[in-house]
Amino acid sequence: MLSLRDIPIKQKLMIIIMATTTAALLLAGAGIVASDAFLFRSYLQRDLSGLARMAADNSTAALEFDDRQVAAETLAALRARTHLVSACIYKSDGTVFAKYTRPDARSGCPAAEARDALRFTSGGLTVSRAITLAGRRVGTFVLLYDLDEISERVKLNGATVLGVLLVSSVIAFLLSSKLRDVIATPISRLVGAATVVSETGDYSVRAQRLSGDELGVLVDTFNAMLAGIQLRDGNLRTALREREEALQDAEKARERFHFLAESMPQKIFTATPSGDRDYFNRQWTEFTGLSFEQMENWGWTQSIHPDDVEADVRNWRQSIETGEPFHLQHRLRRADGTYWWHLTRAHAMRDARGNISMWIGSNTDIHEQKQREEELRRANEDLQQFAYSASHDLQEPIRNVAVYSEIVAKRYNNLLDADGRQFLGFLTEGGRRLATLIDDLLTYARVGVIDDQMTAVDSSAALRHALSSLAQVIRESGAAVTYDPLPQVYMGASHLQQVFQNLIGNALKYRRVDQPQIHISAVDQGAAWRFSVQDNGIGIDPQYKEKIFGVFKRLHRDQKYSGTGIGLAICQRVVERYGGRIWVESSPGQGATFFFTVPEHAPRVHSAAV
Amino acid sequence: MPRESIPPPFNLLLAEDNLPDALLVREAIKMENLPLEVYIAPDGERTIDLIVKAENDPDAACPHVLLLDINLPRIDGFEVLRRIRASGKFKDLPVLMVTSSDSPADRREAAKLGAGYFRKPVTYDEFVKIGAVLRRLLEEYGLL
Repeated sequence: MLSLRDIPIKQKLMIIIMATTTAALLLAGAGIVASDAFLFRSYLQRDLSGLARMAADNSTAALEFDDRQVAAETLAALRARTHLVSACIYKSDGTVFAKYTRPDARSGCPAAEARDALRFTSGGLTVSRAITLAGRRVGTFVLLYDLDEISERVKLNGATVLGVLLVSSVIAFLLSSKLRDVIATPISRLVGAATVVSETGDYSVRAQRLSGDELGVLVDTFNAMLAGIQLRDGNLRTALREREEALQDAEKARERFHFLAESMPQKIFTATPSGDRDYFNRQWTEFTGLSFEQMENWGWTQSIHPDDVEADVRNWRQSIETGEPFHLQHRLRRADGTYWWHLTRAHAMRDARGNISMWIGSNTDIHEQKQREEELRRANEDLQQFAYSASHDLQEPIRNVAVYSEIVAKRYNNLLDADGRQFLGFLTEGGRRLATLIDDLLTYARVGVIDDQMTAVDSSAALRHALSSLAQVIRESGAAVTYDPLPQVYMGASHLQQVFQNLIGNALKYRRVDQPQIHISAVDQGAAWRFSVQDNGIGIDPQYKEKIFGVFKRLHRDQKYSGTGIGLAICQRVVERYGGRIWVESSPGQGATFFFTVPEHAPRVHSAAV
Repeated sequence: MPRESIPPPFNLLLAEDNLPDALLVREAIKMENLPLEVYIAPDGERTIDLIVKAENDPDAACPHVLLLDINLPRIDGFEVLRRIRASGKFKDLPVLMVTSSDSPADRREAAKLGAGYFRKPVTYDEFVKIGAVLRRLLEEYGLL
């Protein structure tokens, strides 16, 4: 059942109006009825008191003369008063002298009082009055008056009040039906608008303003509120739509990434900005035989070779701290327990504000490449060892031949004829040439092994060292060697010096004029530096410009241009070993310019172990 | 080793397995007029034996300077040098590596072990310059 609180305002207003009206009328009616009853009672007291005095006065003579007839007539005169129940005259001795009773009266005379009195009893109002003559009491007049008149009046008045109440209620009902709309209708409209908004979510709905009172203000406020909400709702919807689109894009990107990652031949992983790995593609789980749960966060370290774990974790932590890319060669354990070399790279992905949002990494199987490198390294080591042995073991007997043939030629000069001296000269010279050849071959072989640290070196320092080695030849030839400022490059200092030394040595050797001019410079080509060694020497016929870089390739048999034919081969081997190239531009009699390039950046791959 | 108290001639230990080279060294010393008595050890093992003997036997000849080939039979020159540098009495002995090798690695190793380096040349005139090199070494150590 609905309480007053919950019923509609319209009914509430009706109930309030009706209750107020009814209560007011009932109260007023009750007051009127009560007041009338009270006034009438007072009037009745005065009236009956007068009536009793008059009857008592009129009875004086009858009592004095004991004339009961007159007394009866006096009493009978009161008959007209229909509510008089009985009237009696007592003599002074208390006996009834005369009496009148209404035919329907059920009792006789009321008792006489010693003094004059008015008394309301259950039977009605009793009035007792002394009958006196010349100050002497000769009897008592008593009457009993019923109170039906009062109750009749009350009933009549009550009926009137009820009638008025009924009519008033009808009028109040009719009036309130019209008047309540003044309040209820704007509220209903407001409620209607609010309901539509709440049910449809349409914030463009507006409540109609019907009055200029507080309700009008309420409607205005409500509408303004709706307008505000509509604006915010619009913004919110736009933001939500954009967010939804962004989420969809992100989801699409994620799907694409996963598809890509799963279909890649490489092992792919991702990690949180704090370095916890949170995704491994199928190739990872298949290769390692470990589940995602076993590998997530830092679990993957169990698949790293024990010798590589420390470097791996250290480099990974360093990358996470600095945001720098992660590059490492290390061994990963396959499900069968064997270890395979991988190149692992990871890069930080950053958001619009530059903060790292995730890490993406790949592990590429480089086992075969690594094995080939190892084979190559061993082959190089063997070659190195061979060259070293050759250098030492061959040098010794050859040196003996060269030096001792020289000693014989010097000490036993007078014992030899011209032929003997010439033949010993062949021995000495042949030994020296062979020793130089062996030296050059050793140098050529050593180029295969980069034993210098790959740090940036000052190429002008390497050039100065080369020039200092060639100081005597430069002095003797009277050459002018000039050079521009030279850059820092990633190349073994001794190797760069070797290249400069060989190229400048050639320029000095194959000079055309008495004062050779040699100029060294370098040009930044972006990815590499291009060095050039330019001379004004005899030049090279273009048809030989490839051939001259071959081992033991010499263009001149002439003693004037002595050499082993390995110098340029060494230069080519060195330059190519560092990823550059070497070539010559020249024509006979016009001098030659040798060019070689050196990449500007050192490769950035660290290896966990050798 | 209290150098001031040692009167010349000094003892030079030459660890060399190639006799022609040993003779050239001896000739160079003679040409340079160095007050040196030359003892030749033909391999690394024999060199160490002589050093150990000199350490323990007061009557044995005590080397004052060592010329050391790298590629010696049995024990190579660097191993010999490492053992000498680790020993008590001869850890500061003046040493000159005399070798056919031109390897930068060998030059670095010699410098690391505190030894001079002389690469054997292929001409007589160049070879006998070892005499002058030896003189400078002896001067450097206060023996001359």
